[in-house]
Amino acid sequence: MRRWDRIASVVVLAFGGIVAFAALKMDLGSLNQPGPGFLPSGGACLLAVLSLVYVVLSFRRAPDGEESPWPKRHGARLIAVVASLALYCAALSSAGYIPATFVLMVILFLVADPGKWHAALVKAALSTAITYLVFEKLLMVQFPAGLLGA
Amino acid sequence: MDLLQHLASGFQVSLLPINLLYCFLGVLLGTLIGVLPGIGPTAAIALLLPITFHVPAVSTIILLAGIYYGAMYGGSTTSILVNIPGEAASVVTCIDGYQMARQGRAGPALGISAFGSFIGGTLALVGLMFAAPAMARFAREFGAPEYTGLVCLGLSLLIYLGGGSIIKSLISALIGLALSFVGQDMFTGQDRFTLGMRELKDGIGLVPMFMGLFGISEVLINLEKTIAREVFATKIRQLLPSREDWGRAFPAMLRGTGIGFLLGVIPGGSAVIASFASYALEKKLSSQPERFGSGAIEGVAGPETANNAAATGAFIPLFALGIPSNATTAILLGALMLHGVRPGPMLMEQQAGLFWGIVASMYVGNVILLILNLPLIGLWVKILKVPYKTLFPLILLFCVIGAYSVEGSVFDVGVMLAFGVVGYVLRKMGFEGAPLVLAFILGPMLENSLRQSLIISHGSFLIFVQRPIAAACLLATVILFLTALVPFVRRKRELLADEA
Amino acid sequence: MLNSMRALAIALTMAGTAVSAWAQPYPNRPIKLVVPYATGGGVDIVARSVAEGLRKLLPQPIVVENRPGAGGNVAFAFVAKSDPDGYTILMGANAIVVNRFLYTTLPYDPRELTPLALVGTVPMVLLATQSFPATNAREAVALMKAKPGAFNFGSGGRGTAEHLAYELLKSRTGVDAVHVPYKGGAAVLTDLIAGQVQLMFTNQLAAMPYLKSGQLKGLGLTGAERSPQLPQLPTMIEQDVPDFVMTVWWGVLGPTGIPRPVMAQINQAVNAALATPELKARLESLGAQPRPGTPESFADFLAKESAIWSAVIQAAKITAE
Repeated sequence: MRRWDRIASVVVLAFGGIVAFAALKMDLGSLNQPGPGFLPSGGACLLAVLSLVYVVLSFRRAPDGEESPWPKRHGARLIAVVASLALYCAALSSAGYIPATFVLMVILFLVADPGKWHAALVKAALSTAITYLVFEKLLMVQFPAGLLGA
Repeated sequence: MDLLQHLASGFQVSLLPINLLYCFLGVLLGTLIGVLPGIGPTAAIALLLPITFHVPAVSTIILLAGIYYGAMYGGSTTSILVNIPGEAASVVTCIDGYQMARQGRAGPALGISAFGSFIGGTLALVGLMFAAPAMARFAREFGAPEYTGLVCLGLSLLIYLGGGSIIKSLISALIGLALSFVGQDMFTGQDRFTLGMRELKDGIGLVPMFMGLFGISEVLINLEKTIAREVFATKIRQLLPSREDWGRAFPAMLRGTGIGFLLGVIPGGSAVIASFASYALEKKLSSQPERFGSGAIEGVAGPETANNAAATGAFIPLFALGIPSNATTAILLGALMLHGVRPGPMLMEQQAGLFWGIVASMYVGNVILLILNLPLIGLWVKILKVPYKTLFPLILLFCVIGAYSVEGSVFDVGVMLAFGVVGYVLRKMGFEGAPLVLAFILGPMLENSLRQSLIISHGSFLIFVQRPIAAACLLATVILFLTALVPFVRRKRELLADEA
Repeated sequence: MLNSMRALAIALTMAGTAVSAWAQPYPNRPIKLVVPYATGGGVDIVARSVAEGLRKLLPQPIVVENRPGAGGNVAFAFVAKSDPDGYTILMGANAIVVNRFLYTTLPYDPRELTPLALVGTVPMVLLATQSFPATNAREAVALMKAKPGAFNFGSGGRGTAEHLAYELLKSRTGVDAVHVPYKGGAAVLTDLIAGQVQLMFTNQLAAMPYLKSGQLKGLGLTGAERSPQLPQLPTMIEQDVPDFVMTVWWGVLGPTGIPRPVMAQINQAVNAALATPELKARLESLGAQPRPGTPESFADFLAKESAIWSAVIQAAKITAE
């Protein structure tokens, strides 16, 4: 995992650097009236220093050719799940809970078991209906009504 | 004896059929709410508040308190079964509880958390009865400088939480700290790290964040493997903890009760600190600390006991000082006041019947909870037999609803997804989620109390040395850091010597 | 002919039923009462109590919905932008008035909200730690003037009622202390009792238990007259703090454009609820006084509040952004 450690260390260093840069631009205030940048800049600088140590440590050791951390197989499945959830977030308000959730669940069940349309449709309809009844009707969570509302 | 008389009269109140019914309803609802992610006891109590207008004050508080401590029982269920913490105080339970479930030991994990909750809850009640006035004085000692010390001590605990390298634990804690700054600065109203998004003004939501970091990222990791293979393929061996389990867990429970009760009394996010502290303590005391992180039963028993003891301890500042320690006890305070009861130093004398009735009902409620939860274990464990290809879309849906229902915000669902991806990447890079969450929770407390202390002291750091509790906490923090760093430095020196 | 007559008759009845369905009197579906803060806070408890009172007077249920965030602005914008049909109303509080001076940009136009009915008000109390050398507000002001910057004034956060009351005191008397914001009023109390923070304004409800137990002392009341629950506590005005009246208030508002009859109906329903012994008792247990009135008197009340706070906030240069 050493090679992966190196990538990780550089990513963390970049993150720490950006946060430190943004924090130092804030008002630091004084000791008797600490400002909004007081703790963030302290924390971010510490983060930057630690990630620098981490970079040094990870580059000191030789890479030992371990397995790549990238998904070997099923990478497409991962992307499909994340993308469908992202689309769901984008569509939930306008489409409403029932249509958006039904479509999401059909996609997820198809990802789980490709080709089995019937099973996916039935499971999606069931899970959407049951969660709607339990959360919206019983627990009074107000889901976006969207297309079916008004 | 006076105390026994009071308690007997309290039981007379709490064993009235109508109060028994309210107690049962409360704990049943609490268990349910605890199991469902997102919807917390705060929302449930608020929903029931108007119904209780027509009910006497004692019954109201018996019902609402039942929901509160009942939720603590249910909170661990999803942590153990699917790695989704039901609330902040169950984050730590994920670490070993979920590993136990993967090894087919979900039953003992659930069982030990039910027993642990029972022991923590009832022992803390004994503490509540005997030590309420003294503990109230202790709670009152906690001002801004003491919180600064306590939070520093809490943060240093995470050095022990990280499975692997100290530096990675510290880095993920600092990432958590940086994330906790997102939102409006409390002192000046200035926006920080909000990237211009209005939704981020109030900061990143805690529940969406940890559901993403733990729940979603776990699903993503599992998706890489072949789904056809069942994740919990191992046969479920037993439903209840074995003798050996008890041997390991019981001392952990007793220590967890002590830590939980002590920290629960202090207003603030203490049930969370209590569960983390108990985990760190168990790991430190264990003769095989390497078992932690791969299914150590003490790592479930300790924290689950601690958070229940803390929930009970939180009633002390509520009753004795009228100071609520968290959002849920704040609503209980509101409910008491709506019934014309003013919590405060006089409550125990002026409203002895009410106070002892509630205390007694909490004994009754804990017994009901234990009886209620043990048969449920069999049911929960069956969920794990559902094939993963059916289970994972449902877990995702569960997370989506949970994140949404906290504030009715679609943005929070997006936050959860983003943290799911972040969590996935962090885990791939070998970083732990627990230090990040702990630092995220404690970050605002640290910042507020530090800045308040400095304003109060007009810029002098002496305030942290002059106040004994603050000084003790900070000293302990320094010692913890040094003991953790010594082996690290020594190892590094060996490493350099090797290379030379 | 007969057929066409019958057809006309049928058409007329149908039109009649359609019209009567359309003109069914308000309310013909549940009313949503939006609370701008989290469940369990003071405003939430008042809203739920009022909703409970209205439930007995209106034929339709009242659903309380919490939409916390951005100091109340999330809920204000939500109600301001909703249909002005009387089915979405707001339980407003002091933030309705002060937010427009605290925030440089608001997600709504304050004119998009119309006052419907004032519910009640509760005065605040100037609290001091037991070791504080003054025993009343007059002495406290003199002491703070003599030692500028020496005392700490706690509050539940920037822009909260506690903070604004302190700014009002500053603008009326010229005192100078150090403002220490906390997260919520309850968090200050431990530091106030311990004497780390010496002074704080908080509403009477929160102050009562500490006054009764003697953990803190009350120096003055911010109401226009003394409170029936604390008759021995003199007001700020009695103690020569000029023009110092501040109350925490709650009132029902709605989006601008609600038809007059519906406005009147909501106003009458709230007033009727305020007259019931249950709601009266409940508000009294919160230390509050019911303030029934017309939408117009509520609007006057808001105009007066605006005048005070625009001056104070602009003079103190407080912003929440």
